[in-house]
Amino acid sequence: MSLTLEGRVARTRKAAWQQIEHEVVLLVGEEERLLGLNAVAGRIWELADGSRSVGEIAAAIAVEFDADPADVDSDALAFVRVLVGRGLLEVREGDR
Amino acid sequence: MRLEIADVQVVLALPRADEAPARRRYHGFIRPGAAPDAPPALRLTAAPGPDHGRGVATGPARLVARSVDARTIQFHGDCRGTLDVERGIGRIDHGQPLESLDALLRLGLAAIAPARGWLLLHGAAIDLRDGAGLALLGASGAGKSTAAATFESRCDDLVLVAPRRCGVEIAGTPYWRGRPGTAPGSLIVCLEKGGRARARRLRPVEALRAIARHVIRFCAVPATDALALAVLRALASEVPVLAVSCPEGPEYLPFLAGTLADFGVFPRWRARRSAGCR
Repeated sequence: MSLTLEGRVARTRKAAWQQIEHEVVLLVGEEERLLGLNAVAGRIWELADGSRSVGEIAAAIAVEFDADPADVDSDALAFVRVLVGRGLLEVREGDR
Repeated sequence: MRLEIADVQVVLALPRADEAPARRRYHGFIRPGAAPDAPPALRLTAAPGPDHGRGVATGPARLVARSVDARTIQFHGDCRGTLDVERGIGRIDHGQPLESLDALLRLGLAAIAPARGWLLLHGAAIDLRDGAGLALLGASGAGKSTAAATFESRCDDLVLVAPRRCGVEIAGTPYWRGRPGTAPGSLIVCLEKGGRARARRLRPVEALRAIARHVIRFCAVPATDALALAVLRALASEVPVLAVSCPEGPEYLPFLAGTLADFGVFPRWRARRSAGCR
């Protein structure tokens, strides 16, 4: 499924995660490694709980980090696509 | 046979012929008397396999583990069997019972420890003069055993560590001259190989990554991983963690002891000091 700004995304169980010192740390079980997400990426991860679309997540990020919404839209979509590709996020279909 | 490792109750069932060597193997960790009312955290069984009694195992069994579902670990190698992480029930179906059970115990401890607030780490537990303990973590060859042979220590290969309010609790395991019991600690040291000799206190996120390198983990089990990461975060947040690169050779122990003294930590030297080389 191609992911758009309208798609809702949720974390899968493939990674455990914790927030520490404003950084989100993911333990990706099968890859035997820890991934660190910076503040913006970590916030996207936190907001990806299945209740929001990528566009809504990007809008929240733009407000919280005082950034250009158009830039955040494209960056967030690209980042979410990477995580979906790695199986760390999944696209949810249907109404909320 | 009932063992107590930290506060983890373990029941081992193995062929009668292996009980005497098992008693020697786990001496100090064996708890006499009837089992308490609460079920043990781990119940491990070694059934006599087709190779039982043939030859003598010369070392710990090697095992390769993989998770087959969210709670079950299957392993093969020198022994074969399964471990249900959620119920704490493990079984060896093939292999030298004692050596296989020893490997399964290690796997089981690593898997269930996070649910009880502990992490099984590759490290030594060093006794301090004030009665407290120090968790000295490091890869093979980093100097743990040298330190454990020079200072009084509770174990020098696998150590259990749990976050506590304003510190940690450090427990010995029955591996490599380990002895039972726990001690409070206020510092974790991660030995690093190579680089110039130096010590620095890590920020919590650095500490989490540094400790994570020493977590004993055989395979990915989602429920265990989430708990382990939560314990890691607590450890990294609650207690100072040092990364120490030590010089090699005779300068190693003086440097380590001096570094620890800078942080107000004083190990208890064994009565007869070793040469201090590694």
